[in-house]
Amino acid sequence: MTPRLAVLGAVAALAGCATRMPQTAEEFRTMAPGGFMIQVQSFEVKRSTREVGETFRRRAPECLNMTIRTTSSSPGSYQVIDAAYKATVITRSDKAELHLQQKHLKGVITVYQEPADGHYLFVVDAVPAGARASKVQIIGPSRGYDAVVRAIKAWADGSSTGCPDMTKIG
Amino acid sequence: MRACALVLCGAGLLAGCGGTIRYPEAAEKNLHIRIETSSGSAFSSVKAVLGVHAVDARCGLKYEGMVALDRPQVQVGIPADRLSYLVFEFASSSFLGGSRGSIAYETLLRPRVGRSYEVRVSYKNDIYDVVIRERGKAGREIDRAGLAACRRQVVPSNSR
Repeated sequence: MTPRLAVLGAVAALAGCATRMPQTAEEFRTMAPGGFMIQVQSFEVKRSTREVGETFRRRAPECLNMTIRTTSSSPGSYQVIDAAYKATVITRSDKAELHLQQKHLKGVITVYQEPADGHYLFVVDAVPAGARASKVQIIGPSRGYDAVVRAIKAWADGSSTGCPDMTKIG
Repeated sequence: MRACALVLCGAGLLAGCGGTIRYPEAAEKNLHIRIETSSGSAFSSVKAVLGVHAVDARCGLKYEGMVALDRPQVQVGIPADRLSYLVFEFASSSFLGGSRGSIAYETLLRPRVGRSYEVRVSYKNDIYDVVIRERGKAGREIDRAGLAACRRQVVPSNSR
């Protein structure tokens, strides 16, 4: 599958064949689950929600906020796609949120109206599950973003602070 | 734009283009770098390099050379009490499909006089990490800081 097809597929999946795309993280939480190529993962970590949120706050912007150019060529065609990624972290005493948005700057025509910073790719929520434990839920694409999912899981459980190679996703 | 230029610069170096400047050997090596790279596939590879830039009073960069991080341990001497900009670049390539990509971790560092630093550089299964710790009892971790921090005059001499 070419990057463009993958992207269009994901966009269609996120839209859930509906007439509009989620414009907020809350709409994404409601609309995305059950969509084509969308996966919802839930797991528990032995860290407080405050600690999880602190790691998200420290790592997500510096690891995820970037613009990536993908090029692909085949006989008779050459394609360039520029995608900007924007991470947003919201922390409260009882919840930590990580949102990742993707905005195509070049090479992909947007079918639906997107939020200003691009469509929602991931919405991650961590909530308390005991004294020093949290339940983490990741809603995002089921394929093509393994490195991002592994990085987020590692940030959540505290096993690594590594960044996903954003040139390998999509 | 500057980061992009740095990445392109590094990509050029990795490609083995002419004009590669090797970072000069220093008598005192204060950066002890441990490297662990694995692409996670027999059909792809990843190479790591370190580009070193001097940072002037106006936060401008002057390229000083590169160090290939192609061994498990590499030692480098970075001038103490002076701001340097370190660019750790990971370049991956796939033998099947011919795809290539590179991604960089950049940070300012002002080594303290008489101190040495442990740097852990890893790239495994599409996850990369660079952790810099000052050696000593506390083993404090050095914050990552971009050029914006230089412009704000917030130099990374503080701990995490």
